[in-house]
Amino acid sequence: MRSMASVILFAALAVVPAKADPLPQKSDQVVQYQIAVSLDPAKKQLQGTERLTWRNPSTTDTVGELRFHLYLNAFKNTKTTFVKESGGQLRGDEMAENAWGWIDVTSLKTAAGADLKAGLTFIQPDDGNNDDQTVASVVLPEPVPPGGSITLDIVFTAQLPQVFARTGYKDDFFLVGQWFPKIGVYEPAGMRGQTQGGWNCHQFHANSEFYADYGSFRVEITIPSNYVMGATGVRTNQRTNPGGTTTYVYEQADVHDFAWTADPDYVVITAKFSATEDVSPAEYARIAKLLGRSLDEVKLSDVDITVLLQPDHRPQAQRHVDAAKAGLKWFGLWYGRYPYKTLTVVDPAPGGGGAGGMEYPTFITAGSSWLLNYWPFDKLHSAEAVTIHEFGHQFWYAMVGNNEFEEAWLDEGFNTYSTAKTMTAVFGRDRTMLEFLGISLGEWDVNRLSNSPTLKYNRILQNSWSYVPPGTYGFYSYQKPALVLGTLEGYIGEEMMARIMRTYHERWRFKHPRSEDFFALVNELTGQDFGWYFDQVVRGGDVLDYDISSATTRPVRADSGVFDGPGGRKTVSEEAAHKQTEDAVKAKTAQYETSVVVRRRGEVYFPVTVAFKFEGKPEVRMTWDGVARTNTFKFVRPEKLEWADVDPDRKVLLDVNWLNNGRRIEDDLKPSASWTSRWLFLVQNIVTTLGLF
Amino acid sequence: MLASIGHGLRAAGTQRKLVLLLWAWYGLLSFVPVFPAFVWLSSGLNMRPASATALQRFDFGLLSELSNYDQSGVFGLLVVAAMAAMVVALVSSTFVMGGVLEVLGSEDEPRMFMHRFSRGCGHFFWRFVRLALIAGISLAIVVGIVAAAVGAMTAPMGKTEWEPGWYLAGLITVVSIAIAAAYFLLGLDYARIRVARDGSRGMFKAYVASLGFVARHALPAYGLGLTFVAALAGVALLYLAYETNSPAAATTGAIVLLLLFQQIVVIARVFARVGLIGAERHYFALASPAATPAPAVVTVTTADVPPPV
Ligand SMILES: [Zn+2]
Repeated sequence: MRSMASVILFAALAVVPAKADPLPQKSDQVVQYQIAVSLDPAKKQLQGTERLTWRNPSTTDTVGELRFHLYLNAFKNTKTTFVKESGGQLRGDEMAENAWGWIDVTSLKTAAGADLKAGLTFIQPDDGNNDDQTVASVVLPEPVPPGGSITLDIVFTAQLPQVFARTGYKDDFFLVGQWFPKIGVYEPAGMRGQTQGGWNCHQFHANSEFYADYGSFRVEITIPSNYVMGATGVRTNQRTNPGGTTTYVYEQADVHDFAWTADPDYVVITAKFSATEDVSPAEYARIAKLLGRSLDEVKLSDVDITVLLQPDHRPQAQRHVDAAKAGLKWFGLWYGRYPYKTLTVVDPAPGGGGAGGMEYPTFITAGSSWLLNYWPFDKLHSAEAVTIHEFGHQFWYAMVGNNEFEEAWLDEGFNTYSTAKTMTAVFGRDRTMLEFLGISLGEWDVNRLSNSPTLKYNRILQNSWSYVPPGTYGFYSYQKPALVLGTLEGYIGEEMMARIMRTYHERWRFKHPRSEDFFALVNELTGQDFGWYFDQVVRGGDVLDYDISSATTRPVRADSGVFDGPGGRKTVSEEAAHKQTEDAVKAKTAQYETSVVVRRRGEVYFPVTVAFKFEGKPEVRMTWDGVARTNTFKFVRPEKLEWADVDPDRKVLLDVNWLNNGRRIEDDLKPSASWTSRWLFLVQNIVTTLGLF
Repeated sequence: MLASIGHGLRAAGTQRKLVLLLWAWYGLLSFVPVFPAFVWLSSGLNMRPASATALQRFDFGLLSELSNYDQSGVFGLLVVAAMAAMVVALVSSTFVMGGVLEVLGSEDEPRMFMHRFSRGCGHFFWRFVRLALIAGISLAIVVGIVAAAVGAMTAPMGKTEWEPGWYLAGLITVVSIAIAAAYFLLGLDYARIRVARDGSRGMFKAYVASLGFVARHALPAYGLGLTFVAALAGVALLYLAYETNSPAAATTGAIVLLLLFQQIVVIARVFARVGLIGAERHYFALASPAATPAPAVVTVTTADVPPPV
């Protein structure tokens, strides 16, 4: 495998120019959007014109058909694939009655003036549900040659739904996402492992997010002048119109989506992330050393942060700013500097929570509540966790643009892993979610707790909408991938893992990787083949669980029986042998034989460390490849065994049950006594209250 | 009111035996669900090596693994055992209250304590059961009505853009329910005091009369109750302060100390409750002097079956 790895390494070196900064500066701009849109706040409608230029990225294919996402049609009626799959419910939010959403393309022309509207048809590439109108196709009068471009002029009307599934309105709050006719991704042969060129343009499903090509956006948004707004990118212009409206212009290059928000009630908080003040020289030096990079390479840049806050959440302003800064800092240090000038954090209006916890380029929505202003709820780090997670998507999905329809784990899972690491950097391990009255809960706990021995009927690598039951999508896309990456880190070490993640991000920034690309990179940088691991836990669905099935330690018994020796035949009775053993124990000269059986209870095998603690001696650690179903460790030593423990540092996060990892020879009552005393206290209080009613 | 509180506290202080007896009895009853919990926790924790974090912190992850991968098979019993203990406690409440009132009514005879206590328990048991049933049913009905009415009234608040309104709506509902529930519970307290003093046999009448009494003397009646709740809150805060600032219960000494502290808290609770009953008795005697000296012959309605003793 080493020769193979060096070939890949050589090839990679040939591709990546040996520059000081391996971070790509620009995306390969496939699309260019110029949109002008106006909001009718009473009807909750958008009127838009869109000039879209699309470049055929293939060097060989002539493309005669274009495909578009019309995402808002997912909320059109009860027959859409989205509503059928979700049952009108997503992330605990109900779809409001009579608040449907839709988008109509009212005109579609080429820049040359050819009318294509009549040829626009709805297609259903995923499930053949003829009532689903979330993907449209149009056959071009003249195909686009390899490398050639086409410009289209589109006019559309969009009805926003009441906030549900990320987008819509709640009273006068608007979060406008997935709102414009958006072209799919044409994947030429060779891209993401495709054997032939074709459109990747999936329908909108309940369990899946998005996929799009990079490009530039220039969007003019007209809203009533009393509204406060925010959007993807930089505000480059604004003008007041007659009739009490204002038009704002936002521009951003090297992104693949655009979202905006408007609400008259927003409190605008601005802050600056300073590359020199928010990161200390020592932190730069530590990360540069960890990554094996120069200080220049890990240097960050300044970012303007805007938080659009609900008035009732004013006390949380600093928390959101701090969380955004933590994201900019740690994701930037670990994976590569945030390249955009702005970051907007949106705090959705009460009742608009369905729009919260979502990511768009340079624009994220948070999740908070008025209660978090006050003790003891201010001890909950959930607001920070949401903001950091959504910020993390700037790196996983916005910049490393995987296909969320097909490989959601490449952003959600990588991001869950990165969020846990960031939360740990900010709050400390095991208390990232909560630390209150001696009760604590960490991100890694949360990720591990969602695992179970029964979760083995799906895999990480499958289409987002294909999970059975659909609710398991979350575990396989968020928590399990985080455990897979965390377990890998425990095995190859923090430094190697950090370098893999850094290199993966650098190589795939502004590009579209697939899982295989990550696997290949792991093999390349470690110089080992990790196919056995990814086969089992990413392509496969089995469970990992090691335990100690038995542990014994006892004095080596003196032998009895008839023995022939130089002095003739000698008989040692059982009693004599027994006494000899006992004497040796009393005289502390006895040897002890210890036997520990470590068992692979799950189907997944994984190399494990086993720690043995003998009386009065430091821990002995041994490793086992973990392949056989059991492995017996035997020792003959002058000390008794106190305990044995598989994976003593609890690095194998995928191990579904840690409770069975260790075994003591003699019981220790203290932990159960300590916990029981608290339970007794609780029960006593309840019983005494009821008993003296 | 202050005089009543002082009187109640003095009464509880004098009847130390009573406080300790109640503490011991309910402590014993608590072992019904605590023993299986100990078996369950032991099966999961005792074999764990020293590297376990169980002693350093209360670990949610570990707790959930303990329930998911229970080796002892008793985890399922816990809920049943806890429910059983609570039911027994509720029934026992009607039993011991007779004893408590009997003992409190006899501050001058501490030597006859056990005798008086058990006599009170037995003597009033059936009447207090009927009282508890009447109070429980009225409480359930009225709390249901209040919850529905206040819930409907505050519902629009939960739909506005004014987010604190959501929580305020919930708070108003909870407080209204608490006030209504407290009314029926205070009524129960005074009804028992009335029955113990006057030897009444008509429980429904006694309860209605006591509800009237609480309504007429709402301020002092609620005031005494609130003082009691405030005292409990104070004790709870003290405990939380200890729990947060004490060293983790990681050594035998620390565990024993924690246990000791917990038991002091429970005894304080019992003390406060006995004190409240003492205070209520005192207040009742002041505000509603007995018409005829006990034991009074009260009209026996057909609905009331005399006690089987
Ligand atoms: Zn996410």
